[in-house]
Amino acid sequence: MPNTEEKQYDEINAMPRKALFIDILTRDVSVRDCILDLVDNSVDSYIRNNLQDQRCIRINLTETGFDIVDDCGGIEYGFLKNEVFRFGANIKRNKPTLGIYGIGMKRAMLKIGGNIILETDDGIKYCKVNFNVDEWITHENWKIPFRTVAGSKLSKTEKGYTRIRIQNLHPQIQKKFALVSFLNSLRETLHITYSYFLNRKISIFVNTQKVEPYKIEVRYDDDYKPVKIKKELDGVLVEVICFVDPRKGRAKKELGKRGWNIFCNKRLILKEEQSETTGWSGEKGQLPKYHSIYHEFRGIVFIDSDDPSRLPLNTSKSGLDKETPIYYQILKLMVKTARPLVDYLSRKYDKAKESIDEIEESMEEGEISLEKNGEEKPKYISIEDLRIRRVSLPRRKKGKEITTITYTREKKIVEKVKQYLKATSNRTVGEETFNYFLEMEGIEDD
Amino acid sequence: MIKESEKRSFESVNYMFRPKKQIERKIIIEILQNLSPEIKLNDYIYIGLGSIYYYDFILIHKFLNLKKMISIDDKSTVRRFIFNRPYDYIKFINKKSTEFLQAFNWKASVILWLDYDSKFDVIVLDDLSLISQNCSSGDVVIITLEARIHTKEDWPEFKRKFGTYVSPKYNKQKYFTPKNFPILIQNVVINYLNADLEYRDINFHKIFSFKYKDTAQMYTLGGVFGKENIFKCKKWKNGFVEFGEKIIDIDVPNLTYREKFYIDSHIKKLKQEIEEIEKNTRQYSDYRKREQVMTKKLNKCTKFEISYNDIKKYISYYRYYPQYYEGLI
Repeated sequence: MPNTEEKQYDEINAMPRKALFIDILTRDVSVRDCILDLVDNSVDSYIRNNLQDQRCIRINLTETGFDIVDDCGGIEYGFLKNEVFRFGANIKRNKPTLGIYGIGMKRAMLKIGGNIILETDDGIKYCKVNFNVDEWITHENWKIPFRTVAGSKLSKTEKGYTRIRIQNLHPQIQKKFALVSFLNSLRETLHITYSYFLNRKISIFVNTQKVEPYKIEVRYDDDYKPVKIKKELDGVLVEVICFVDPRKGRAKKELGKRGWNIFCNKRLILKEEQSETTGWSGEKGQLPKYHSIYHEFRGIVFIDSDDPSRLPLNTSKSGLDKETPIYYQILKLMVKTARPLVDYLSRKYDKAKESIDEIEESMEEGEISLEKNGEEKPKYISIEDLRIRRVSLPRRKKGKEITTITYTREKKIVEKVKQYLKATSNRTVGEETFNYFLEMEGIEDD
Repeated sequence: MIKESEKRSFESVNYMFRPKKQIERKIIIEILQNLSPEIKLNDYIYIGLGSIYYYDFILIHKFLNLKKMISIDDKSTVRRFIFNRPYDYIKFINKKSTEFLQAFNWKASVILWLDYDSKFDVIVLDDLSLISQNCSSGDVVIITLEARIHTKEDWPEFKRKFGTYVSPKYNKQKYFTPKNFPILIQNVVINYLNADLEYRDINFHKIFSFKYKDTAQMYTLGGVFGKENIFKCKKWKNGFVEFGEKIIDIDVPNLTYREKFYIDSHIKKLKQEIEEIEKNTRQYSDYRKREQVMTKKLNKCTKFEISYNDIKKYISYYRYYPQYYEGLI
């Protein structure tokens, strides 16, 4: 009989299965965010290599393949061999880069296709990795073979580069890459997400078409002045800029021109945020619940750190990790900075309008500018030119004292008059009929 | 009582006097007849916006022998729509197209012709979404829209609403002109359909598109849903099938009966004559000059004055050209 008391040493296999690993890793991330991760790597290469001159990232996507190439300096041999392909890279954190977890590139590759070719030359060494996922998945070894040559292949005038080509696209990806709407939305996302870099020394092309930078401007004129504060919180530099920007004409929705826009290490993370995440919760100590009367408010936040792990980011960089102590502090700062302007907007509409319904009616008509700004055009300045400024509330135009008249009439007759006047709101009906009386009776406005 | 706002094209224009629209109908019927044997239409349901004239329904029944037919309209003159049905098996449903598409069970195969008499707008995209979510392989969809631009100042608004679906090559103000607007609409509609079909295993395959102007400029797109374009290698009986981006312009001159009959009875001869004249005027590099010369030469063998362009246009469509008569009933 075997001796059951005897203890024998054995091992349990706890190696992760690659297939499960790939499945989990690629499941909750969108293809667009994956492509953005690859762009982040190129931008990081620019930052890590301390480049100052104009560089370029070119993305080409078709039904047969994906290709991203940058001339942002290339990847150093040791870094490529030991870190770049590891799931969870140990990245040196001493520059304001965008990569944090060291999974973005791998996740993107695996999400998009089955065969990946990475070529890079940093001016010291040329390396080429041929990563066939379908083959790699079949063996337990997690290593990926790659080729190098003794030195660099670059001529004196050529710049260090990295090129990732992905072939054998997954069927769903093939279909997506053929969609005009996907390409347009990718361009639009790149346009605003990397606006800071596009306005400087990095250009991005998608299928040979240049992505134009989105201009981040701040309203700054005699009537409206922005507030800007800067503060260091636990190794993170936070800059909050808030301003009010009433626009004449229809209250059209324009990209990035409502609510909060939040950047982490200069990459846009949240755009047009109007939810509880940025304080619009209506709870005590926070901002009121978002309403169309706050469309004139804009807030821009820059959260920067040389140690990107301190930034309150989620893994796909598509949102903020609200549960971090640092974001709690940042949010407090945002609310404090925005408060006077948000209160001003609440008061402004309270005074002039009687009910929320009426405000909504006038929002649709675009009559939101209650303080007529004369004929002067609003002025804007670039965000870099803005110095630190304390809050100053929008100046009330000195004008004639105004008052409100209210009365009610039967709806049917009001509609008739409205049609007759070709007016679109009750407010206009009131004003026009009043003006008619002035004219008929010859009452002068002096 | 009919509400003022409900007055639509059928009340301001007698459908009989829209010759180009009638030509389009006949061409489309011919293409539909030609879909077989790849698609057998026998059990298809025809869904259209028959108005009070039901012209498309009459043609569909006569030439495709379909009996399951549904006409949709949301106006309040229900009895009038029902009264005017040319066949009692046409089912009239008093709903907006969007409401109908939401409620329809989509079990049978369909030929769906949404002949809007409204301008291209977001509501059309809502209908397209419902179609692409519910349609099956083999379903035929045709949409007709008014392709008119009010002012070129509307371009930013158009871009804001539909920009995501405009291909970069068309994302330019120069396409926002009355002449080019059908191309822009076609681009948006096809890209929108494809985006909506991203997670399905079928695609939309264009078969034809037309533009014409009886009163307002109209644009029609027709195609079929399926995994692959099963018609790619098919030989068509008429030359109006177009898988690519080209939009065929249906344009015909106004002719008197005598003129029409004259040309019809000399059609072979005139075709030969045109061929000959074209061959003999190749030396003219100036198109206008050449046209003048060709008209002059052509008029030598006709009994009345008619421009070379008009006769060419007529010859392209003579088989479909409608004839209107006044009669006492």
